[in-house]
Amino acid sequence: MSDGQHIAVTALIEEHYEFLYRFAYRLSGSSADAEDLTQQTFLQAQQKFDQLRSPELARGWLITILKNFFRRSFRTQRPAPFSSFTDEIDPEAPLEPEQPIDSEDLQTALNEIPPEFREPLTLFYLNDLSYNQIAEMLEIPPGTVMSRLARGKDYLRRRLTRLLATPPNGRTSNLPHSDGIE
Amino acid sequence: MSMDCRTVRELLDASREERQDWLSVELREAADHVDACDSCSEVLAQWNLFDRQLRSAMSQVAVPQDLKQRLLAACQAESATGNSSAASSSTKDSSSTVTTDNSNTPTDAPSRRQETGRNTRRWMLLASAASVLAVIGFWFWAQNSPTTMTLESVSLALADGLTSDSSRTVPRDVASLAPFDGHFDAHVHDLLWVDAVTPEARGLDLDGQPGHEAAVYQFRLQHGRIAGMLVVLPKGTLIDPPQIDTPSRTNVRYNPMQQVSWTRGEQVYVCVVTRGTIDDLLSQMNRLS
Repeated sequence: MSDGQHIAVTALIEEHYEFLYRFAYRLSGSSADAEDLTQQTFLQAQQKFDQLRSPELARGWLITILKNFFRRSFRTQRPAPFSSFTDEIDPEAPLEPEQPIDSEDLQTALNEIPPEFREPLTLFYLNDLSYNQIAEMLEIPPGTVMSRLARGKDYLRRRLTRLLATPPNGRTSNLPHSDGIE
Repeated sequence: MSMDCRTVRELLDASREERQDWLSVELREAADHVDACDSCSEVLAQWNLFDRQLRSAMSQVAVPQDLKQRLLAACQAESATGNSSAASSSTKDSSSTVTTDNSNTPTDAPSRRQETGRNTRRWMLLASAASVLAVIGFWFWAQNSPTTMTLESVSLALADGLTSDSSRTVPRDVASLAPFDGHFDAHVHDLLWVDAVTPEARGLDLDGQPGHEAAVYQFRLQHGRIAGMLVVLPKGTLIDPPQIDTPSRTNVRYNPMQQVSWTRGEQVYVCVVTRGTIDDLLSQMNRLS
């Protein structure tokens, strides 16, 4: 690797490692897995650095690499059964908008969502990307992004409202490893 | 007002962040509805607030303090390994030269070294062969291991693959699909359907990987009053196959294609109705069974 490339990879890490780690954590639900995914992503980025056409495209490129590693590593992960995930939302269900959402509660709810829904949700809320950008990064049609986001949001609203209503000691958290969360 | 509250909320919730042209007419209608409906405007305001809170909570993940240093070190080590493997191979070459040229060593020493060298080469050869076999084995496993998808993903992928427009409302001509690649047994074993489908299956790729995950037939029932596409998938493809024998609606939001699905034996059937209604289809299926 040339010195110039080394400097560019270092800059890439400095600029994007925090975002990528958070994205990886929200996808995997574990700090160890998030570290592995982040490291694999940068190692791959270093190897394929020639493929990066412009620095403005770096974040999208890194997200796509990380997403591919995640899908490969977590292919066997069993998501929540379709039926439980598709329960209809009660449009009148009260929310508790005054109460802030707890980061661990959010992860508990995310872990219950199939990965294909977790990916667009995480990108949408973490990076403020548009549907079209998410569709491009996840390599799925924009309509599918829209549908998955709407369904995922429905689920999170219901689940988080229920979690907020439950006292902390009565919760059944399935967080695999949560020491990375503040 | 033609839109009901549920439709309005779903539409605005989905498009709040993005004003898409193809939804603009519906959006205007939905916005008019919200202006006149206190309940909808209250719910949507709550959802907006929830969105903001979710956005804030999503980024509350503590990043390990030394992560950056470890990443930099890993990349540096990886880069150095690439260089050092070339360096080490050249070191090995030069050491073997030294060994061969060293004629001052006791007479049995070269043969021991040669023996050791032979053993090393043998082990390296065996290790290489094992690696090649492992790679080939993994490749075969990866090629033959079935993709697993949720019924939701299948339904959405079918909506994408079986329509020819972005709003997924114009059914595609099945004949334009590639002939089915015979990846699995796609013969229609469900007796109710054997006579209703076209003899030739076409294939559809649902997961972006090589090979067809679904076989598609055109069907006609009641002299063409009910028509559409019958899709056959191996049951193992789905993480959550639909109910056995009992056809049920596969409701997926933003998927305008009407679908019912059921499992029979080792096959999952998804029926996409393009002419007639799902109710017509279900009552016809009940009558025939």
